[in-house]
Amino acid sequence: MISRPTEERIEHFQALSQDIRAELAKVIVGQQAVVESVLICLLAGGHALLEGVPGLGKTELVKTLGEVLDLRYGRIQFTPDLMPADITGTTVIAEDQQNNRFFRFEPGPIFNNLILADEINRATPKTQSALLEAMHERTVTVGNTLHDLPAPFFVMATQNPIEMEGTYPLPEAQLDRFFFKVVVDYPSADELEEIVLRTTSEDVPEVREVATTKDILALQLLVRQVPIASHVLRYAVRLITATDPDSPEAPQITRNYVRYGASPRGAQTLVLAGKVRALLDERYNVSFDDIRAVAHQALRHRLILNFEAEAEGVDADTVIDELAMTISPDKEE
Amino acid sequence: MASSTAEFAAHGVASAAIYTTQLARCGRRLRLVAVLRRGVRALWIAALFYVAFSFLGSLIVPQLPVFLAGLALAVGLFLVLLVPVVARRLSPLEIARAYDARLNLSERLATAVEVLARAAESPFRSVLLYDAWRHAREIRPREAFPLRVPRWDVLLLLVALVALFLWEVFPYMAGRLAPLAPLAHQVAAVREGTLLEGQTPDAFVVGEDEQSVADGKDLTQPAAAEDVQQQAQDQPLLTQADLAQQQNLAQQGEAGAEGEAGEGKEAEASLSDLAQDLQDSRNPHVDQQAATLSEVGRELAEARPSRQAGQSLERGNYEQAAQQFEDLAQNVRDLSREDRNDLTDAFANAAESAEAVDPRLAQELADVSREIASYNDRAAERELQELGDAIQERGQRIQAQQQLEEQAEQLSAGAGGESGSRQDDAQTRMARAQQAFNTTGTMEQSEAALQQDSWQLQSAPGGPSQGGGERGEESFQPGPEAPRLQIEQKPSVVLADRGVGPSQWSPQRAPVFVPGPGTAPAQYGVTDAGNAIVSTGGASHFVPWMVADYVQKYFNALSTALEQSP
Repeated sequence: MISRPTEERIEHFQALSQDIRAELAKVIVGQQAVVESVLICLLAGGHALLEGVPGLGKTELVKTLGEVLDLRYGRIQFTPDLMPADITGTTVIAEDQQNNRFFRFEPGPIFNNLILADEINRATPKTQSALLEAMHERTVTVGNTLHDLPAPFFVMATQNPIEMEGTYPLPEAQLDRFFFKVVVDYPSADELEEIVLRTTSEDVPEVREVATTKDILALQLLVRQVPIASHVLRYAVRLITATDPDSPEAPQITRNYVRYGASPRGAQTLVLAGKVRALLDERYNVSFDDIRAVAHQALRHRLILNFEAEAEGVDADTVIDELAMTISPDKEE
Repeated sequence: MASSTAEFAAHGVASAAIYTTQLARCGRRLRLVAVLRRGVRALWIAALFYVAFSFLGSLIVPQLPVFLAGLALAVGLFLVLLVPVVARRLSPLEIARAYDARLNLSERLATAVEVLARAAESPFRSVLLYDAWRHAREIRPREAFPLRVPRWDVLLLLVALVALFLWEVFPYMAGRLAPLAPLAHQVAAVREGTLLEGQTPDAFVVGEDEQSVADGKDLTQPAAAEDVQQQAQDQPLLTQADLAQQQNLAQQGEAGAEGEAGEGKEAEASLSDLAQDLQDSRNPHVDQQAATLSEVGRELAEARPSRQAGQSLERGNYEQAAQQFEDLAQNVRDLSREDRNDLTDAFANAAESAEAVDPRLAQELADVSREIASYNDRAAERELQELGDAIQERGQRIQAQQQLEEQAEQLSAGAGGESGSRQDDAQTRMARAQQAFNTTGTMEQSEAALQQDSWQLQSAPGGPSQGGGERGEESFQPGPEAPRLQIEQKPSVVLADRGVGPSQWSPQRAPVFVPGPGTAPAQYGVTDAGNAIVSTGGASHFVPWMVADYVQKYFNALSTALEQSP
């Protein structure tokens, strides 16, 4: 028999995602692909790394998202002198009313639902690594105590690709923990015109909360129930395998330019993001197109290219495009 | 969506069945298309394989008939390629995936099939199934998978068929049409007003004869004898027309003997003259031709495989030689390399020796030599068979000539020593001459039958007569002259130069027959295939279409003359 709640949940999902987009559009002009990618991360329960030059609205997007979702929002400005304890929190000595002294854990800004890690590559690797446990296991260990982070928990990090001096590129382990790496491009002329118009007038756009924490968690659960056909799943796996230069199935471009391929997290990301995209597209199954559509965001930060690629100007997106063309869904058997 | 899915769910368990039924419907079309495509592909692969196999086989093991093995392997290959597709049953998942891909359905159908097959109940099962069913019912299998074969397969099939035609059918057709090939060469030699030189009726003569017959003019022996002598001088080689004319002379002689048996010295003088005419009309080239054939036989006897045929030829046993050439044709594939070399040399030498007297025979011999040397066994077989036919034909001519010479000698002896010889003796000699003449082919036989008719008419009441002057336009009296006129002054043979026996070729469209005269009616028709057919009784021969008009006039004139006679 038809499961009524499922139908309602699907309709709720689609309505909510429409509302979130509509509210974000009040503040963020254009950047549809970026908004959709961030939305996919949110609904899939993953973290996003937004990369773009300053002034493109990365921070504004994350901040607005926090307002729309009624999530506890925390911002960490990463600087070279930022210490791990500034993120995770620290144990301090406190006194009770009887003047007894004791250690008390003072949680850091990471204990929020939505974290904006602004200019994350400006912090030292030591500080950056403070996020590792939090991003993957959603816990923080301080001293001998394990602290659970609130659910849902998102890290939306931003980084500037052009200012290399005084920055510390994220280590591979850190990068792999980001669900998507979203490249924020310049807006078009029309969009820029609209941005200037909105930001230079006296009207300040106001957004409303359209989703609660509970809603987000329900949507994340629904996403994981979307069925995926075995041949589509195999296609996603083959895409990931093809990024490994040591794999016998690796195409020539991988052998030429890739030093390390995507980890299994890449396959998980492809499938999970594909499920979200299918629901956003009002479908109930994952298609090949879904996998291909999210491949760039899911894999570009997981491919470690070699020197030849850098010398020849081949970037990860080029490799992914080639892989998407080379790996045919029809040739899997 | 909720109401729709609820409606769909009202089918309960059957909802899944509805979906799978739709898929099965789509699957039948998919299978048909797969069989068609694989069938075309298997066809061109098998055809190309057969051609390649036969070609390589003929190069590597020319002594073995590899075409049968190639055919069997090609059929096997075709079946091996096709049967798995025909026998294979497509699973619902395969059908669903094929339609997903073709109609860009975003893997809806395939996912639904998998979800149906899974034991674990999915919250999305119903909505997914409904969504897939909704899309599946819109599918038009004929539009999704039209019966279309990939362009490359069609192209390769055409290539394979052309290769097959060139390798197998074309040589076969060429072999079938080979007997007509000489005709094509002879068409160029046809002159206005004649059929083939000396063999065909002349339009002017036909018209003249019709008028002459109508006027009752006598156009018998003297003019005929002159005509035949002139033709014999003009002809470099003995032709069928020569034989016909000589046959007519023989008839005249017999007729003279019959009609003048009781008239003493007059009859003796007449027989002597006719015998002299026969001697004069004898073609001196026949001896050269016999000598040439003997020389050819000597050359061919040098090679082991053609030794028997060469010796037969040398002895003048042409029939046996022709048969031995046929046998050699059958065994040409089994020849060793040394035998081939010997044969090549022997036939080349024989061609050189025949070049001066009989260029056509020389060409035949050279063709055989060339084909054997190039390992083109099919062509060599054909050339050897044609050579056998040519030898046989020439042998018949030579033998017929020799028999006619014997008849002439007997006539001469009859004129000198048996002035009172009886009519039945002359008739007996006539029968012998006629029998000798009849050995040259079917058409001649029919003409001989016509001549028999004329002989009977000639023997009709009224008696034999040298003159036809008593016949007038108003009062035509039946007599022997009219039919004799047709026989004597019209070439009695209309025969394509292709040897003995009817051709295997048949016209694409039924010819229009014109009944001929006589007890064995000759018939005539023209086809649009470039040749005319002349048939007598059950046998058929062919002449170039360019001369068809003359043949028709000939028969028409003959018919008219015979219809006017009682």
